[in-house]
Amino acid sequence: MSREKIIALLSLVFLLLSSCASLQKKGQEILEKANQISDKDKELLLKTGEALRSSFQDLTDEEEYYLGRSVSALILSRYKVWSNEPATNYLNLLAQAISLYSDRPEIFAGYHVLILDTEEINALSAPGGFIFLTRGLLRLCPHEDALAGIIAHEIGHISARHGLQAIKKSRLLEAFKLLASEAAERLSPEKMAQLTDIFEGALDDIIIQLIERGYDRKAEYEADSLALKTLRRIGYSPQGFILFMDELIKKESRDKEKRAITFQGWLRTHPDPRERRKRLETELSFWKEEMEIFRGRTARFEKMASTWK
Amino acid sequence: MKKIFLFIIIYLLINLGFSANEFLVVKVQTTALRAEPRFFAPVKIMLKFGDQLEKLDFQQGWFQVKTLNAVSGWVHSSAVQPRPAKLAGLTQGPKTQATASEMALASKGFNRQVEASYRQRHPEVDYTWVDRMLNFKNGQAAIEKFLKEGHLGEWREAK
Repeated sequence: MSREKIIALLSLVFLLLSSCASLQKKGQEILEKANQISDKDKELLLKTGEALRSSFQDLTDEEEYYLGRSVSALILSRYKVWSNEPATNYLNLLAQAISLYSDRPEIFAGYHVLILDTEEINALSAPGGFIFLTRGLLRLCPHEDALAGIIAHEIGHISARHGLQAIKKSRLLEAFKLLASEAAERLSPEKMAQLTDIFEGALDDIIIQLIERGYDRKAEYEADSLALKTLRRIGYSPQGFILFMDELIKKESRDKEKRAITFQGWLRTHPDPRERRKRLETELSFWKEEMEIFRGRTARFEKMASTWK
Repeated sequence: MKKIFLFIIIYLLINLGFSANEFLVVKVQTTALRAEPRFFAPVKIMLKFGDQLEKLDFQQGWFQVKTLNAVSGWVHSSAVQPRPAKLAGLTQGPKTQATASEMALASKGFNRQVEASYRQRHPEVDYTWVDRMLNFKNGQAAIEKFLKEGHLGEWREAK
């Protein structure tokens, strides 16, 4: 190709690109001027936006938070809160520090932890950043690194929106359709009642999954992988999480002999700790992580642990 | 001839770079606008839900942005989303953030009103502890101290 032809071609590309850019700019300018968009166009845009929503991933962070608030209130109607201020503060500090190294450090209203006053061994999380740890579970933790693993696992469930996955698709589609059909700023009382029905159904779906059925195995293993990733970034020993699985296995066999009920909730909602341990070890074998647990963390953990023993 | 080529390339880069001024909107209740793309960098100002930001750059999970009041800094990508079309237009006129009505429009769905309606039907469901747990918040300084003490995060090498 001759030099003249190259210049001609480049000039053409240049002209085309600059006209695209100016067109783009023009379009943007039109959109930027609110007074140039009629109310009818705004309505249309809103309707199109709502109609485009189709799955739990399309719920906004704010909607996730409002679902999570009510799910949490329902969890708390089944359990008593253990109001131990120093321990609760410590766990919130731990969770909020860990969250900064997770895949989703920022969430609508932040991450928060509450202790449930029960011997039962369990950890639960509601969408939107609400984490619940039982006193029985805390007693089983040998060190801060194990506790960090459990919290990182719950943050994994929240950041991957596992709780919201439980909502029946037909319910979500019904909600999105209803919202798309209403252009006014506030819903009519009739539409609000319908949306509240759907909200109530969604809460049932999530609660059944959290308390009765548990997440599916795939979600549990995904939360374990996310936890290892987070632990590695923040610098907790991922082996601490594996040692917690060992504690679970030991406790499980002890309780089986005594036929205790402390484990039933956990077993119903979580995969076998032996299987989880095996998978975690396989993942860790690729990382060659150090086992070392920093002593400075042991002191503060033991001080707190003395309050829940 | 080389100069002309160089001129064309520079012109194209400038034109493409500036024509696509993208906007983001804050999707969490509050977040910080930081001086550098990391959590423990100095905080320039606090941003709130619905605040609009002009995107300048992106670097490993952080957006460099400019507020409508021309304060620039970095926000984490999990705190923002692309601006919905329905909010375009608010960058014109007075340099204020979204109006109340626009934000009401943005937040229609499972929101405060739906919770209120649910609570009216179920007065037995108690939200006292939910509201209380939301107050368990730690500032940047407390989290930094906790990490330092535990030799974690940015302070993990300090043994």
